[in-house]
Amino acid sequence: MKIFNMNSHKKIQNLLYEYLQNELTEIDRTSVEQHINSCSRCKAELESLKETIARIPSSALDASKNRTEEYWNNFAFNVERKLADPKSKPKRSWLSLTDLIDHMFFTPRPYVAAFGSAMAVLICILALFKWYDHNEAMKQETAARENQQTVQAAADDSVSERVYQYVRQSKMLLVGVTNMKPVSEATYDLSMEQQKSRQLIYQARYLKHQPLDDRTAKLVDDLQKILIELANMKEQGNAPNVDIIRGGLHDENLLFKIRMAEDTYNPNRENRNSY
Amino acid sequence: MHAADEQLLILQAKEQDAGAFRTLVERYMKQTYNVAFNLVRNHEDAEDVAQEAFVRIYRSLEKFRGDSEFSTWLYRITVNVALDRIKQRKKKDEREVRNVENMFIPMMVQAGDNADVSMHIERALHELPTLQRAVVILRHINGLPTKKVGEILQCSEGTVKTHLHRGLKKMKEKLDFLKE
Repeated sequence: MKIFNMNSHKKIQNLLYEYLQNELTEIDRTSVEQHINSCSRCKAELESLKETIARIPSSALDASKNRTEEYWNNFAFNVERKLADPKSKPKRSWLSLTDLIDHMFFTPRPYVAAFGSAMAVLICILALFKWYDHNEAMKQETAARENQQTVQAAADDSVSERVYQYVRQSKMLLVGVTNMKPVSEATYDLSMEQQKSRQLIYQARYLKHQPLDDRTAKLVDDLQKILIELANMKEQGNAPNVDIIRGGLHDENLLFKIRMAEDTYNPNRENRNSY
Repeated sequence: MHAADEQLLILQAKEQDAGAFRTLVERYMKQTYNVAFNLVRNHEDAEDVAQEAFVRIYRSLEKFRGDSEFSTWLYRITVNVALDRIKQRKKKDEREVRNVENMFIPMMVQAGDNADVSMHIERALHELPTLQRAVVILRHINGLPTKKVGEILQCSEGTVKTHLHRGLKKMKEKLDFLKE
């Protein structure tokens, strides 16, 4: 039995898409085929990818079709309208600079003093030009680096933000329920709260499919149980049932755990660590 | 459009030829819009992003030296503008609740119903992390070569392939989940 290391699996898996699109070289193609013939795991990946590609044709996502013909006929005009601002004219200062250099350098000067002055001006201008070029290069490098960091950070944000929203909104909902005043003698109107709890239960179901650390997964699960209790209560709840919500929050020390999770997953916080 | 024709149009546009620039806009507007939409996930922002991309292209035309293809440059700017827009949107606290509700109401409607396949695919794509979404859009949806996607996103070809593989795998899981 051939033994593959993780690197060879990863390498082959990264080639599977191009393999299915017939974009591989002969050598790579042969490598992939040899590997999948003896690796059931990668063969399964290939079949799964094949099915995925078949389910996601590029034609299924043409958002431009949602716009009318008239919209597209006016699109270029709208871009031009945005550009109508005089500030959007490309700067031509560098052309006038070279014109000046041309004039100073090539125009014959009958007097030595005048020629000397012209050379001095030329040297100053060339020095300025070099400094400007260097500055532009530095700015582009910084912008490229910042962009890379932005893209990487954004990739990690989706699930984290969903966790943050879930714990925060669950807290607001459940604390709100425990602080509610009864509408009439010992009855509570929970219709709005129950609607919200159902939405949060769907969110919990989604989050349970995501790769979360154990603590966060447990918190999601504990909150979901209380939310289900709330969602299943009779709309005009009576005092003892609301006490169940209160009890659930206190017994599991959930408010403390929620505050920890909020702090950890807060998107405005610079450094996030698993808690 | 032949590469030579496009180079000529770019040169003319650099010389303030409005017709040449307009031709370039009309040539690429729908593709730009599609990339923008699939990144920002709504039509209002997609329109702003696509127009802003062309505005930035026009303002930077004289800096374009032709080291890469025009479309590569355009896609790169579109992705950058879209990412800026995503970042701005996240900072708006007033839209938190609405965003969460918008995320879940479609799921509640679609679960168990005969929802349109395109809506499922769009939904699955829009829930990917931004980088994976960008790679899937450019490589799979738009069919751009791996090398070009790497130039647009300024990352290695290996990174593109890894994110494509992961992104498509996640999309399959989400599509299976939405079908349940």
